[in-house]
Amino acid sequence: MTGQVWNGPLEKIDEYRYVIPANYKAGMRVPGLIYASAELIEQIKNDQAPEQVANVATLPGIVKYSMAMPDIHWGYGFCIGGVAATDPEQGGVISPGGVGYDINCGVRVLRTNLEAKDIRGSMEKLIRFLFNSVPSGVGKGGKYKFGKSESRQLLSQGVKWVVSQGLGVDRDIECCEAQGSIEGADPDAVSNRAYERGWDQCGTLGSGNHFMEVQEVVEIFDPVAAEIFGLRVGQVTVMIHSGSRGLGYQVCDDAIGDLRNAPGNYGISLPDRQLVCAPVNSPEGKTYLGAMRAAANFAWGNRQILTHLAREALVEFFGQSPDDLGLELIYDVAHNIAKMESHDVDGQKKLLCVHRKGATRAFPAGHPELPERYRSVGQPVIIPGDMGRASYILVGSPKAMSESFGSTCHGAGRVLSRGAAIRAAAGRNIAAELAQEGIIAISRDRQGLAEEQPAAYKDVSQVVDAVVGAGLAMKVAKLKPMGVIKG
Amino acid sequence: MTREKIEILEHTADLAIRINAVDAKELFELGATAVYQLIGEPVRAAGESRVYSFSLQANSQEELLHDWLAEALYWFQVRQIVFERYEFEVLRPTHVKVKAEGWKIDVEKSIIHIEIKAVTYHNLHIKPNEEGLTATVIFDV
Repeated sequence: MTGQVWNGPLEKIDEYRYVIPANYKAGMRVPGLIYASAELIEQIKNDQAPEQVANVATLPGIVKYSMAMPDIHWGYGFCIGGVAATDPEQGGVISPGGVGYDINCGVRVLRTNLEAKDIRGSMEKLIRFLFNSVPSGVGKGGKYKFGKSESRQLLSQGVKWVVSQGLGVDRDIECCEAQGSIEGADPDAVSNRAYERGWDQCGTLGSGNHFMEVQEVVEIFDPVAAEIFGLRVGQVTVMIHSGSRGLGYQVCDDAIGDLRNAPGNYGISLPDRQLVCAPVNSPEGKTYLGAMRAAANFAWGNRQILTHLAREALVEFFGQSPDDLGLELIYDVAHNIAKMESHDVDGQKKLLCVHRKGATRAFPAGHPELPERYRSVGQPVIIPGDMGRASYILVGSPKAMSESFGSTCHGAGRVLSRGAAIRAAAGRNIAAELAQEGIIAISRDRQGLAEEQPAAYKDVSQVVDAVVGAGLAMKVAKLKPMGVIKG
Repeated sequence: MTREKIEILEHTADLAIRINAVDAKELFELGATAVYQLIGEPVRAAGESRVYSFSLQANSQEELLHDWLAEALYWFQVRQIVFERYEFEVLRPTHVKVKAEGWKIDVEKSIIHIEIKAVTYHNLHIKPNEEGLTATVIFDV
């Protein structure tokens, strides 16, 4: 099903912008806008993701463009790497497909006082220790199991509740997007099945592309921002990528089922059933928003507990106190979420429903939603790459605010299907290949590493160069993997 | 040329399958089997099988197949139950009522390859043909 090359019209606006005109297909209300370099746009046309950008442009109330970032690839309904903002005052809709099944899948990064050169020799032991300390893999339950009453508090308050249980510090709350707790969460809108799927999964990495990675800062691009983020060359960082686990998947699945009849009821015509949606201000839209926010809070809680487990493991492994290790959260971003945000549209302030599915918020310096410590430089934007090449820390830009609803890319983006990746790994030992590069990688099974091998992804550096070239973010630091645990 | 009953298709981020069945009953039975095969190699725990009854209603046969597969996924991933024999009391395009015989999985002995997040509606089709029915389903993994 891949290999279906997209042959639709793309108008090159400049070096990093390609437009799908609004007259490309019936029902498009706005043009599509894809951010990419000349090289990446050729990869992007290798599947039907651009068609999905055009499909999203048909959603009622969509504002300016249906956008896609350079890490775009074919998803279900919405492409992955998409940004769509809708105006509730103009009948704007919210779509569970515009958030994805893994609600608030996201990433956070912690700084340490460790020097990469000092720990390189013990990486294998360290990664093995982390692997045994942090639940990962398919169907793995966690150390923390929450009953319905505790789960409701977690779903209402996210990181704030987890920290109140002694599993973090106040700085952790401050250094999360939305302070790790999005307002308006409705635990009553979450089904019993969703609670069942999530009750023992808070504090588990999960499988697929989720990971915990120990990294070395190898390059600083913006010394001022790097100093404020607490980053320097040679330093060790820890990156965590996970989401809302089974609870979020079930919330999304429930919502898509519950909204089956909503398009018909509201006179909305859709080119793809997976784009099912309801007006933001409708009862159905509000119910989904409440449940989605609750799942988002669960995800923030999940990453917070994973952080606690990582801190415990590192303190034990190195025999140093948390203060000596300096295990401070730099920032935590959501990259699968819909949020109500204020943006300028044609000179007017509008409260919009911004869907980011595989896209990261990238607010600039001075934005009131940023913590005081980062307000002078802008929001840290964390872009994980594959486990063999690099990850980046960027900072939000004013141009992102004016052009892409304060959004940028979210990662590298897949280029190989899982099957193709497994075939490409036949007869090879991915862990050994990575070890040759000085990277220790552990997964529950060999197939996991095969599916997630570096060649399965675009080069994150190319993706980052494209968003930086388009002005949607600025580079702060490049991080290179030293060791990774995969789900 | 004989078609495989369950075919794994390529999809960049997710997993897709094609099911070739002679009729709706086989389509639903194969669908549940496909879910189990995609997830891994479940091993039966000690103990007797049990019969579970459930009923699903939807707007279309495609939606019903989605709900059926989601049900199989739920019972597997949350309740650790694999169904293997079915008695369909009702099987209409928009309604299924079934007694399903299922056994408990031995979680420690089973091999689990992937976590399926959900059955998606994207490109979900059931099409009649000379040999029966062909359905295409994409799973988010």
